[in-house]
Amino acid sequence: MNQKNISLKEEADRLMRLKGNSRGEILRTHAIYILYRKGEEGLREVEKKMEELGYPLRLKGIHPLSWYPEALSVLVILCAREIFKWKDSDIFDMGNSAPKYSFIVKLLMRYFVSLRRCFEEAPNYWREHFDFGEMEASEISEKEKYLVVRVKGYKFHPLICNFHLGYFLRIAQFIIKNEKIAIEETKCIHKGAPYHEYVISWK
Amino acid sequence: MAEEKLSLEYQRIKEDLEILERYIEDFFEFLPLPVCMVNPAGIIIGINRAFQDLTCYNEMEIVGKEMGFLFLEKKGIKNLEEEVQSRQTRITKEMVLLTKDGEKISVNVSGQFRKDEGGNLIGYFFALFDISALKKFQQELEKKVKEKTKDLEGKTKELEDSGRSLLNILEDMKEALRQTEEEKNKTQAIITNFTDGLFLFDRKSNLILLNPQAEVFFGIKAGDLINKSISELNAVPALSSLVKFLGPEITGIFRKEFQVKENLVLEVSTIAITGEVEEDKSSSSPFVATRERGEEKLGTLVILHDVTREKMVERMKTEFVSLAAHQLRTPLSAIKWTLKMLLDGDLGGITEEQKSFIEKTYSSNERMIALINDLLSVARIEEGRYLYKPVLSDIELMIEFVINSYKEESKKRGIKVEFEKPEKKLPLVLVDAEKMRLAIQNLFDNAIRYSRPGGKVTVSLKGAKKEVEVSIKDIGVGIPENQKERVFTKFFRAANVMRIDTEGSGLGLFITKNIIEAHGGKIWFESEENKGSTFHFSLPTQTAGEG
Repeated sequence: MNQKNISLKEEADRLMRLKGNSRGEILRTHAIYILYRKGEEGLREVEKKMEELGYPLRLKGIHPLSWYPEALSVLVILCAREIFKWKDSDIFDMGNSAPKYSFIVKLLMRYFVSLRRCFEEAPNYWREHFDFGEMEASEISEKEKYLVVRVKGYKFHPLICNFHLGYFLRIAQFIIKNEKIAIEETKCIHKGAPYHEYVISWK
Repeated sequence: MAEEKLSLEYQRIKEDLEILERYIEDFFEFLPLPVCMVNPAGIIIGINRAFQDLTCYNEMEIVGKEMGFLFLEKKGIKNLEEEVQSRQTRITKEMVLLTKDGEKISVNVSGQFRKDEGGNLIGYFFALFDISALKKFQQELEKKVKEKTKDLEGKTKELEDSGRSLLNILEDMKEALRQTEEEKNKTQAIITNFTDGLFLFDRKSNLILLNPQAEVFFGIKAGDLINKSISELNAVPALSSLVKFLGPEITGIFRKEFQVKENLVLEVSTIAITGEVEEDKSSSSPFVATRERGEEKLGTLVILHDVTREKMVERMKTEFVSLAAHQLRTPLSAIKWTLKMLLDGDLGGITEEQKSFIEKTYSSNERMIALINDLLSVARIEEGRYLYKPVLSDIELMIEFVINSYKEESKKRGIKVEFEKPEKKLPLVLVDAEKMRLAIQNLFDNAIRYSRPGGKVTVSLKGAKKEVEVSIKDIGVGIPENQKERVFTKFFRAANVMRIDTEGSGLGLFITKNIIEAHGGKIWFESEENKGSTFHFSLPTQTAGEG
């Protein structure tokens, strides 16, 4: 093992010690994205890396509704970033693409009939995906064209903030038909804040 | 225990849900119809494989975008969504899909909205039917229909033009018909008012036209006779003699006399009508023909010219000549014998001077008698009663007789006469010996008369098949080329002979020709001015038993 692997291994081990599960669907969307960007070979490389780290995972055998340690989801992203030299923008795009082919998103599409309904259902949406932490629909102003959501109790890795930025933006893009729609993490738990706060605005 | 049971139940439901998800996904992927799901905001949230194949966009590229960008009609999907929502049923619209490859595909877009348990709109399904092949077929069909329509318009125009042309042709034809009718009427008027009688027979010798004058001549009615054949006409009493005269072929008659009755003599001529023919059954004038040679014979025109008056005048003239000649011959004979008696001294002696005068008077009287005889011969010829004593005769003897009778005369003129006889004896000829001698004499006399002193006259006799041929050749003055045609006409004397010989009546060759032809013979000649003439005639021979 080289130095990087040692540090990734350490990171993996650290993550795996954290509690909290998420739906297999999240892992499955990771797999789809890697497959889309890097093909079968890329997928196998990630699986191999996971195995090297001591946490083997067959990405094509994921059950979307089963619970898996969230750490695996985070670890897959870390592996992909390391193997494919992905930047933050790639991780953002990974998160932004995930809802496009998410089975759960399709199941929850009934919430997406209006911006307000979607906003109000955000906590439930979180609960459908995670068995820990929570999402708070903090504030919405359709007049001023912004909304604020907060994620509490989620502290795995700062990289995931980028993933969530992309993910939440896509959910907003499903509802708000505006090309000039933006998302910003105004508070981050990794930067000392008590929660993550995301502000989505549009013009 | 209850918690464990609940967990198992949850697990089972979860597995069922996953199976269902895979089923839906598999089904969705299999579905050959391009399908997409759109949320109420009009944003695509899912597509199947067929949709990717048709649009050439993958799921990653297309999900999350508004559906409108896929179509040429940017507001089309929005309108369809609104219509689907308002009518709450499946709606189909034809639109043009813009693929990632830049292709434009005609599609039918069917939209169906999705509702939740509460009846609230939660999205739409859209399915695309590729109708490009159908559209292409339809466009080709429309193109063909247009082409055909254009063709038809062209044809219609052609037909209209043809129609106009036909109308013009029809107008021209009407005009031509009118002119033809006018011409026909003119012709009809000419035919009707023609003083000659006309019979027109078609190529099958059926009578197709008869003019009023012909009706008058024969006391017949055209209506009873038209379209009757020549043989049928033979059965008509008034026409039977004419039909016999014309013969079955109705050809080759030129100015032949035909006596219809005592006081009606017609001169009959036939003309063969040839040329192109257009028979018009409705017309009384069936021929539009020319008389160009070498064309098909279309019929025969029989022209009947009334020569009764001319014949009567001619007869009266002949009778007068005959009467005058007879009346003159008696005193001339008396003069002749008186002069003869004076010359012979029967009436007493006369001086030489008196004798000379009386000889000249005698000679003139002889010429006068000869002229009177010639005139009588002509009169008899014209009366048709010239030959009356045909007997079998030896032509050789006749020729010798004539030559001998001219012995003195030829000797006096210094002309050598030669008679070339055949080695074998020739058959006899049935002739009026007196007239035949006259004919030979006329020819021989001319030969002697128009030979120069020291000349030669050769008479030849030879036999041919069923005929004898006599030739009398001289090397005298000959006949001018431009006067040859008139040689056998009455009172004709060539200009060159009139200068050298004032005697001669101009009747000799006319009489000779009539004598020869009256015996069924032929007469002809060759002549060159200043080189001489040869006159030939032939006569049919008669062997024993014939006759």
